[in-house]
Amino acid sequence: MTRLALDTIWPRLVAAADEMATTLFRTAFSHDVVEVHDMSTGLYDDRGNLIGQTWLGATGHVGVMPVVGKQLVATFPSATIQPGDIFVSNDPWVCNGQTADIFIFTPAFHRGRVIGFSVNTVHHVDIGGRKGSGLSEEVYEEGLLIPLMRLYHAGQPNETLFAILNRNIRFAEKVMGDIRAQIAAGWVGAEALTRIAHEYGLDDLRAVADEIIARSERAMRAGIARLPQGKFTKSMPVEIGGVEEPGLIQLALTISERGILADFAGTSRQVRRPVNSPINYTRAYLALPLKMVCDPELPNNEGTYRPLSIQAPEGCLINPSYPAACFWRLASGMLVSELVFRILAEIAPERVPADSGSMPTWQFYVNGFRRNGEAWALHQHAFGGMGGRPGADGLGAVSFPYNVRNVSVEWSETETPVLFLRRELIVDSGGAGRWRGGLGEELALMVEDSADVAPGAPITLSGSAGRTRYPPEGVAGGGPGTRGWIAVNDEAIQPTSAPDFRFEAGDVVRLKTPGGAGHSPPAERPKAAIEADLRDGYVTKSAGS
Amino acid sequence: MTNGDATGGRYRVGCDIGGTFTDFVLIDRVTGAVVTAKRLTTPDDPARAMLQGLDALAAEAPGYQGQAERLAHATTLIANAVIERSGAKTALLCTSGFRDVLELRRYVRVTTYEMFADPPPPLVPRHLRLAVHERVRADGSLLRAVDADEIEAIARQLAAENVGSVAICFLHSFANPANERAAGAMLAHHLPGVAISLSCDVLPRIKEFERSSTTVINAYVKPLTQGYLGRLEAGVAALGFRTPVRIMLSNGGIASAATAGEFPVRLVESGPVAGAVAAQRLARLQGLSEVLAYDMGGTTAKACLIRDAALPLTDELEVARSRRFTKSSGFPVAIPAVAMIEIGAGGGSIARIGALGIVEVGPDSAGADPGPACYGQGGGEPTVSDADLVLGYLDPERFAGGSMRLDPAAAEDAIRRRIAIPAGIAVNEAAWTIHDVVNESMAAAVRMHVSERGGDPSKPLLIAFGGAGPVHVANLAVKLAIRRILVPLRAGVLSAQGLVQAPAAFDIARTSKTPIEGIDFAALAKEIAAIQREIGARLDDVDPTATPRFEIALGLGYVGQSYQVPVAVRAGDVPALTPGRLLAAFADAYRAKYGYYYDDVPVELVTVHVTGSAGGEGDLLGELPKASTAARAEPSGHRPAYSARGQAFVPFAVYDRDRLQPGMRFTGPALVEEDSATTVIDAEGRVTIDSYGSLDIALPEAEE
Repeated sequence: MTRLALDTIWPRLVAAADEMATTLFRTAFSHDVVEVHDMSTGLYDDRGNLIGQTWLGATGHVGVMPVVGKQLVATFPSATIQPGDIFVSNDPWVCNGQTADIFIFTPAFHRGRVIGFSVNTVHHVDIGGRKGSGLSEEVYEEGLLIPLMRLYHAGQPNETLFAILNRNIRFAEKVMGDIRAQIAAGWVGAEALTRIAHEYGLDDLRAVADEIIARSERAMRAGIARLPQGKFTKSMPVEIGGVEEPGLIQLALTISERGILADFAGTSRQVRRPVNSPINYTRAYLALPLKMVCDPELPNNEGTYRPLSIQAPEGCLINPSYPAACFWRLASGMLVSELVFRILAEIAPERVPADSGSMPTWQFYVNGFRRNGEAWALHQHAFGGMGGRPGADGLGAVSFPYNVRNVSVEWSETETPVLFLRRELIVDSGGAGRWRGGLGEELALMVEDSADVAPGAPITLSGSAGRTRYPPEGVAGGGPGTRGWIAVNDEAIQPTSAPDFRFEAGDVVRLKTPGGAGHSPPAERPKAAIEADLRDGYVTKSAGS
Repeated sequence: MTNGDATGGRYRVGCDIGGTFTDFVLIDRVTGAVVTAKRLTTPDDPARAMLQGLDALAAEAPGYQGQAERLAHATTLIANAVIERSGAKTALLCTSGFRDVLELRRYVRVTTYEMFADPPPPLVPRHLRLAVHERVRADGSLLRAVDADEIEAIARQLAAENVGSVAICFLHSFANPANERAAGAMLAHHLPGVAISLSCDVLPRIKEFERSSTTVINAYVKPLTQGYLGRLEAGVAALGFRTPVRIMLSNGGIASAATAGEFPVRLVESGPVAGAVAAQRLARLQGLSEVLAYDMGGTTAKACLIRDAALPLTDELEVARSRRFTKSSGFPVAIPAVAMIEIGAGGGSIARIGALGIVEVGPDSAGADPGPACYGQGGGEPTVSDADLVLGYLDPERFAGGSMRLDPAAAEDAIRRRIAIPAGIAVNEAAWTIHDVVNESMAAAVRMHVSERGGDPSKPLLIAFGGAGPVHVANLAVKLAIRRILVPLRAGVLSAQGLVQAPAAFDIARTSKTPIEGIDFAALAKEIAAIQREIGARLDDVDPTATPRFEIALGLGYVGQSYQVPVAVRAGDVPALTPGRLLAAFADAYRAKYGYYYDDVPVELVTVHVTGSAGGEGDLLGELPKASTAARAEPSGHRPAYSARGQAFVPFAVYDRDRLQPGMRFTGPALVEEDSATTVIDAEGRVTIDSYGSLDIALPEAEE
């Protein structure tokens, strides 16, 4: 009864990726992995086709895996690979568009040949450079670049690379702790592939992979076929700190029986700011909303991406050329998802939300020094509100479409001198509508005068932000969400997608993420929903006013 | 040796109230006799089936009520109340500026790609989440004390809202509970009769969302639990019991009704955990170093890895998941509990061809009504039980002790229509695929559970129980490359037996974050002593004659790390500890777990975890008499069933479990039948009946 072996092999591949994720959580050092889940895991066949992926993990990591696999096998022909080899890279143009995301690949052997690879990726605490500065102009400022290379050769560590890493990064022991965890997770995945081939008596995984990919592609295409065909265009501005004119992302989506073609012709040139989104990352956030609408329940793999193609001018905001700065590429890259949602809102209005303040995710570091000179760093994500959805209000302050978690306020305060004054929903920030936009959140923080910080040393906040000038827009008559806003002692900073400023002990920094926009006319909102909103204080005045 | 809750009693009774059945085990400590019983659960009032069943047991042991030294039960009542949202109208007092912690959760959605899959709405709506202008800093210092006038105003508001229960969870209350305690005392004064739960009592640990969630659940179910326990105690007393009702906690220990009523959130895993306790006792009795307890019932399957006879712990339980069995879709309960995995894979789980054209099973279940197609009650969806029947594993005449006749034609028909025809395969092949797929789900969950604990899934011995566990265990073992299986006596009611055997136990974990060089060991010893006194009082409530045993684990980790490694210490040794000695112990523990250790990263203490237990040392169940050397296992007959090894239907010898005696041996293919379960042994599986009556099954090596 081997005919339906796929019934068990397929879930097994997904489970093996989940097992890798579990290994990462169990062994990684940093909050970014264990608490935040800024990571992902997957499995390739020997041709670099993604055939299994964990259900967990940040959507960027998840979405770039299909293309990274192809690059891997193109760089290292299987005849040159030995047992005990491990490959590594963080090159933004090879991997996930950001130097902090390090990918580890581990080959799996069976009957003496490479049958596939496991892959896992983690956002690291540091990679050197200007530590997530919003002012970087070139990628060189964003830390060490590791071209696709061997981290281990036949079981022997690449001591040269380890030495260079150790000398170039902050908190090196934490980064090494997380790399060790990645190596462990890599073994778990590779061994699972070998075991599957052994148990099912397969020579390689190609037939299994072909079947999985074909079925996933069919499912994705079936979803695409439910969309109307045609060419649809939208554009949206991105505010860029220190740049006079906002950048523009221009998208033309052509839906036909051949699949979906995304053409970004007309998008602004890349900028000398870290908000350029390398093409891998752009592709991930192009695919994500399409996956959500066309095929939300099936495992993600190579087949999901086959019907999608992308064209983007070289050197533009969402396809920048090396050495463009790109550390905060989510500021523009995630807006690609929003553009796709905007198009879908017109052609499949019953299935997508209005604009979400959660795109892009805000992410920031607060860096400073203690009295003894030791550096400290706080890392947090902050989230805007999801847009109102046909049939449901948007969720307040949520990791959408990204899927990562916060670090608790209590952990943050225990490990840094930062005191949070507030982390709470912002009343009246959700766009009005039949289905209200989700509320944004306000984070207010300070460093007390009495705290353990070095007098005179700078305290810096840098990170990504968005919708500080252009608010999320409503759909089908829904109202806009509120804009994002950043202020020091209630004095707003200039609208920007990559804030970077200093403050002093005693200053109060406020970050207000944007509210989600509303869906459909507010006049249609049921009275009971309005009353509930007033009672719960999500809204202080009647909807629509 | 102390072995009782109240000395001198002759009987011990365990009652496990499950979703479908309420199971009973009565042990006579004088004669060693064991009585078991099963009756249908009464979901409208679970106490009814329990009291009726306890009453009926008197037919087997007249007057046992007055001589019982323990009456322990496990219940899914608490988890169900949260799932059904039938708890009290509850308010939450929180630190001003952090009113939405409960709603914002960890900001993550339930699944990556589904835009409409939302987590359950918070148990406390926003208008009942009230901000208090108070603040404690991370180091425990007070930034702002609570203001009596503000609390009084809040009390008036809560009274006007007719709130029945209040949770208080302020930031950093684990580091300094003063503000929570002050607010709690003021509220209690203003609102007599309203239940109050303080986070510094319920869960004095770091991470505000998890602590809020746990405290709110405690508050939400507190009035209901106290009411239920009160009624139960009255009912039990009316039946003539002189021993009070005891309850199983999620940590696998028995607690008094008073403790359970104060901390009902500690009961959320009460039901599932009892079976793991029985398996743990068996592991200890037989000196098994690593076992996997595998419990498969009608709607779910559970598994638990037990090493060195110690139950694994977790602080990541979730209850009321909006997406069944999906992590992050429910309310976190961060109290220490036995770590088990539970998946929607039971006898009633429904099979279908999914969107990808492959067979999928569960997590939805046909339940008891209409039930699987083979129940003949109108269920048309093929289930795991239908597949097991078609494969010849179940005897249609003997299911559930013969109380229900199964209909093989209905099972075949459902499988043919829903699976075989759409997939273009034979019915038998479709049935095997269902059986195989459900086992694959279980195997995947087990691999995850074991790898989370850094283990090798092929290493443990499998202990199978529950109504469907023994049917599926052979194939599950093959998937996990496990070579040895035990199916204990009374496999179908093993959970109730665990209630009889479990010790009294209570534990407290407290965040006490300090760099290792900064620890004041004298103060730490005092803190541990205070926790021990608190635990000791709770154990005394259950069994004042037993001497408590304490285990202390210091959760140590590198500064900046998200998790800690427990380092065991003895209370008496703590005052004499030094940072250097503790660091050395941490280095050993870390190296043992991860294989390496950093000598250049600062280490900190994060958690102090004290576990106390009392009683339960003895083994209530002894060895059985060995069969005479002449006695041989004789099958009562043969019937065809599917052999996975032979990939064909072959005759299986059928053995009656009641007639098997220690020392007997036989080889598969065989089916061992008892009232509550059937054990499947494929070809070449070698069975020995061990001295405790368990089927000890050795599997052949896997073939390539």
